[in-house]
Amino acid sequence: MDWRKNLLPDHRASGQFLPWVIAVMVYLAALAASAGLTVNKSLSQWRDDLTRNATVQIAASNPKSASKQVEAALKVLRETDGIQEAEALSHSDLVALLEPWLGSGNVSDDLPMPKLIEVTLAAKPKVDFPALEKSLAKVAPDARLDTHESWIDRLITLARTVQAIAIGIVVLIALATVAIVVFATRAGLAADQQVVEVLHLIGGQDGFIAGRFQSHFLRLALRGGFVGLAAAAATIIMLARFTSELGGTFVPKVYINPYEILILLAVPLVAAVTTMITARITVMRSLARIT
Amino acid sequence: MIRFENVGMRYGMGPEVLRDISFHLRPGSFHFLTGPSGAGKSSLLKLMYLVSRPSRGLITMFGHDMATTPRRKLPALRRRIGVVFQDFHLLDHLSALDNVALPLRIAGFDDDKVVEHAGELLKWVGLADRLQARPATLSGGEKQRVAIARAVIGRPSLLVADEPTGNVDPAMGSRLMHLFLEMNKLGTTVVIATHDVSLLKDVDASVMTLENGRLSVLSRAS
Repeated sequence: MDWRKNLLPDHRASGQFLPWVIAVMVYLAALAASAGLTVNKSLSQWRDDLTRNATVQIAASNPKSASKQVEAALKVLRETDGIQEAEALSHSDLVALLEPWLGSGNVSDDLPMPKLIEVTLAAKPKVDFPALEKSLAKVAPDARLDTHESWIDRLITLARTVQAIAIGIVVLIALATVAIVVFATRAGLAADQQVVEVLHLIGGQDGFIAGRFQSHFLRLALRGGFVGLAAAAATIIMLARFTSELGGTFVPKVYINPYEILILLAVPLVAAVTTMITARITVMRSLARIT
Repeated sequence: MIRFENVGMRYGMGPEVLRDISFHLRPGSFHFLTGPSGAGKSSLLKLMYLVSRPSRGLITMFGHDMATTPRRKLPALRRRIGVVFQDFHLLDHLSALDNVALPLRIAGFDDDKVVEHAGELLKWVGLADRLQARPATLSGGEKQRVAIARAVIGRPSLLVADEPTGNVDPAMGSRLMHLFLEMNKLGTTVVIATHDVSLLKDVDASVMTLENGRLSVLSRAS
């Protein structure tokens, strides 16, 4: 066995709690990273869904006029470049859309509802929406084209905010980890003062002495880090099942692809390396104060 | 090899504990350092084994001016100095063998040879059956012998010992003195701080006497 591994005493108060602290930090950081990644994927999915769809709403007070305007609008839409499909929603489709809010069977037939045309856009060419709006206005004066732009903008803002918060949480966790490791290392130095003193006296270089502490703290951090990652993985799997059962387009589905698994695996490694470097710098600075 | 010129030392803002210390230790010389408790013997030894810096004066160790020697070069100089501490400074979680092997291991020597050498040295100081014993299980005298073995294992250029025979019986004290003399014959400069005047009678060495922080007498022991 390498004699260096035994150079610091085994049972030291400073190191006993550190793996658990690192485990909690890695758990939180992995969840924050996972949340950021999930929002990023959901944002792409939402953007795809919304930019490939548009809605034409015709709210005419006269039902006959409304139906005529729908027919005319459908003709214009189907002749427009960049529109793949245009279908008017039936009355039962509209009722189905309202039922989640009003309750099943509570939508009366005399409830005034606008006519809706669901438009599916082709990937290319891009639709010239201002020109389309003008064309629609000529044949269907009550038509209003909704391209979901305001929704997309709001979703992007929301997603970016969530991502910024996730990054902020990871940075705060990293800073807290560094602070905890500094205190733990100082406690370790105080507890092992005699060892440090003897190593120093018999000609141990600062780098050698710091190396013993950094190896010790690296081991502790790796142990705690992978416990934290395992706990985070269990939580993510649970959330993935839960969101999968919920279904729907707007509830973000939690799932991790292989590339993201690598990112999450890096979390405990980064935590361990941060711990190791912090411990080394702390010891080197402390040793620099003695002759 | 070791030169002190008008060296003074104080701890923090306190009074000087060493004043105007000047001496020159030639390579391979043997010295006793005596004086009453509180005279500054331990402080003088600390300057010699490079854990303290003087507040004034000039110290030259192995040709290096300590005022201008960078801190990063001190470990290499410390490896040339063997120290026997009054309170032993053994690492409690290591065996006697590992304690003795430590200086050579840190210096990067081959571990198998280090272990063999440390074992032989411990046998020589009468601890052949205590190689794996932890310091907590050793008597004061045994600890002192481990500390001495650790100090001499690297064949230092300078051996500094603070009351090295204080905890051993006269026979073992004589044996340890013999070890110091053997080291000295091999070229090691030896400085022993002691209250034991009987040691002084048997060895041809210079005696440095400290009183109130001043090196007042420099004489031959026998």
